[in-house]
Parts: sequence; C-alpha cells; structure tokens
Amino acid sequence: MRLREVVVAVSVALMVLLLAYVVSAGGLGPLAPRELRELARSYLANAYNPWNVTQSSLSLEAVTAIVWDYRGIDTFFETSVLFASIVGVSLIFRGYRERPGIGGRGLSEIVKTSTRVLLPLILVAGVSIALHGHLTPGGGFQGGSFIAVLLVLATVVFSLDFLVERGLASGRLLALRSAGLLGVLATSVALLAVGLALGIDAYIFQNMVREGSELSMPQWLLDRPTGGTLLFFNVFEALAVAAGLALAFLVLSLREEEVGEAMAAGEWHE
Amino acid sequence: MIELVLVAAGLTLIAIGVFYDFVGAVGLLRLPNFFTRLHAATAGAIGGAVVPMIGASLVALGAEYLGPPRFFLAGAAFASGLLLMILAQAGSHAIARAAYLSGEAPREPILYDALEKGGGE
Repeated sequence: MRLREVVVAVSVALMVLLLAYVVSAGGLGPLAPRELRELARSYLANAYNPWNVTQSSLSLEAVTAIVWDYRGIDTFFETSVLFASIVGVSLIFRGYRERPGIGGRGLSEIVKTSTRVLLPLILVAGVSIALHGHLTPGGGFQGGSFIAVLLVLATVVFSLDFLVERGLASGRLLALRSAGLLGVLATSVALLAVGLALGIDAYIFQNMVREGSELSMPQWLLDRPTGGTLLFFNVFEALAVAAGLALAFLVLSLREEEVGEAMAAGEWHE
Repeated sequence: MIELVLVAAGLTLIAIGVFYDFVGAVGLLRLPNFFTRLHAATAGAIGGAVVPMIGASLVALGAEYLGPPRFFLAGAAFASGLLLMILAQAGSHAIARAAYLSGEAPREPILYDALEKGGGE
C-alpha cells in the first residue's frame, strides 16, 4: 500500500466525518423542524378518527390515506401514466410472439434450488404488504412491485418459459393489468353509482360518510378496520403494478427468434 | 443467569462477525484475481452477516428489559440470517459460474482447474 492511497483514504474519511458534524450542527441549512405544521397535524389527527368520520378515512396509515383518499384523483392519474408507458413498450415491440420450448436452460441447479425456496416467501411478503397497506407502511404499489420482482427473478433463473408455461404470457399480463386498472376505476365510482341508483347524493372517490352524503364503504372486516376504499384500491393497484412491471420486463427479455418480426418491421420502415 | 449466557454468546458471535468483515475487506483489496476476491466477499457475507445476525437474535432473546417484542426481534433476525445463508452463496455461485463460462475474468494465478479437465458441468 503506497503512501498516496493512505493519504486519500484518510482524507476521504475525515471529509465524511466533518460533513456529518457540520450537517448535524445545522451548518448546511435548518434541520427538519420538531414541531409539525398545521397541515401535517390535521392529516395526522384525521387519518384515523372514529369520532369525526366525515373528515376521516379510518386508515391507521396516514400516507395511504392521503395517497388514495385525500388526493385519490392524483394517484389514479399516476397509475394511468404507468399504464400508458406499458402500452408504449408493447407498441414498440409489436409483432413479437412468445414461443415456449426454444430452450433457455436458465442458471445452474444450485441457483434454481435456492430460488425455489425464495419464491413463495416473496409472494407472501408482497401480498401481505398490499393487504396491510392501510395498517402499516407499504401499500398496493409496493406489494405489486414485490410480486413483479418475483416474476422477474423467475424469468432470469428459470428462463422465459417459466412464465409462458404457467399461462402468464404477455397477453394475459396485459389483461390482468387492465383488470387492475378497471378495478381501481370501479372502486372510485362505486358509491356514486349506488347513490345514483338510490337517489342519494354521493361523490366520486367517496370513502366514508361525508358532509351531505350518508353513503359509506364498509369500515370493518371482522375486527380490523378496512379503510373503506383503501383496501380495494391497494388490492387492484397491486394486481395492476405486478402485471404491468412483469410485462415490461418480459418484453425486454424476449429472445432473438421471438422478436424477429418486430425487428423486420423496423428494417422495412427504414 | 440464562439471559447473561445468551447475551454473552450473542456478543461473541457479533465479534466473530466483525473479524470476518475485516478479513473480507482486506481480501477484497489485496487478493490477486476476480474469483479469489469473490471468495473474500462471500466470506464477508456469510461470516460477517449471517453469524452476527444469529448473534443479534441471541442478544434479543437475552435482553429481558425489551419485553415480549424481543421474541419478534429474535425470530426476524434468525430467519433473515438463515435466508441469507442460503442466498448469499447461491448468488456468488451464479456470478462465479457466469464469469468462468464467459471467460471474461482472467484465471491467473491458478494452480488446479477441475472444470477444464471435465470435472464439472
């Protein structure tokens, strides 16, 4: 080890130490305030407030309450943007066709065996994160990403045939993705439809009882709060995200024989 | 008494983990080629993460002042250690196999190559 390397290592360590000291002393601007602002305090007080349900979403997770209830329309459009990008990916690659049995062998037997141990664990973790989105940190997007990672891992380790043989070809994934998005849409207008049928006032994206509307989503499942629409939103969002991300990865990992026609179309345009 | 034994055993395992992490870091810097450096990194992952994780679960079991939640901590730490023990070596194996088969990583210095003589695959 030369003297130069030692000097570089020591000076980098010193710089990190000094920066940490300066930041913790507030030298690079103020730290996060200890007192909550009025807006944050009102959200925290109202996210789970069984004494004043007209302002509340009865969700123990304030972040999920804000994302899917207080600003639900924003989140709906975020989900739609992701859907549009998935549509774009499959549009660029149009003309491909999955052919099972081309013969990708995947990785070695050691990796396959340890992945078989892991796959059910990832599935359980993803589903529980999605279902507990209104109780603990996490939610539909995070749980759906877990399940998408599961499908991507299976594709890398066992080859693309693993998904195609189990009926998760790209057409089916796109259908699942659309079903998830339609479920989100249906949940957001469910109370409005009921209100129109019964002749009661109701709102779009309505969750609990609101001012001027008696309608409410179910608040309790057995002895657990459901957060009304939040449970449904999280489940459908998980379905949509898992299918969408897996579809994007599947299209990107197609083999040469399968994208042949798509590539030929590109050359024809040139 | 049993708590003290548990905490002492856990702290011993964590100290062993520190040693493995140090050895792994030195090996990563000083060993001559890709495969030996990967070996050092895996030693750091197994000895320096799995062993202290099990040690942490023993410490959590022995720390009575934490109350009943200590069983959740202990179980989570033990399960994470077990999973990492299965997965860290599988990942290293996949990387080493890909590097060997593609021939991208230089194999020198080498004493004996069982795969080249038809021992593997």
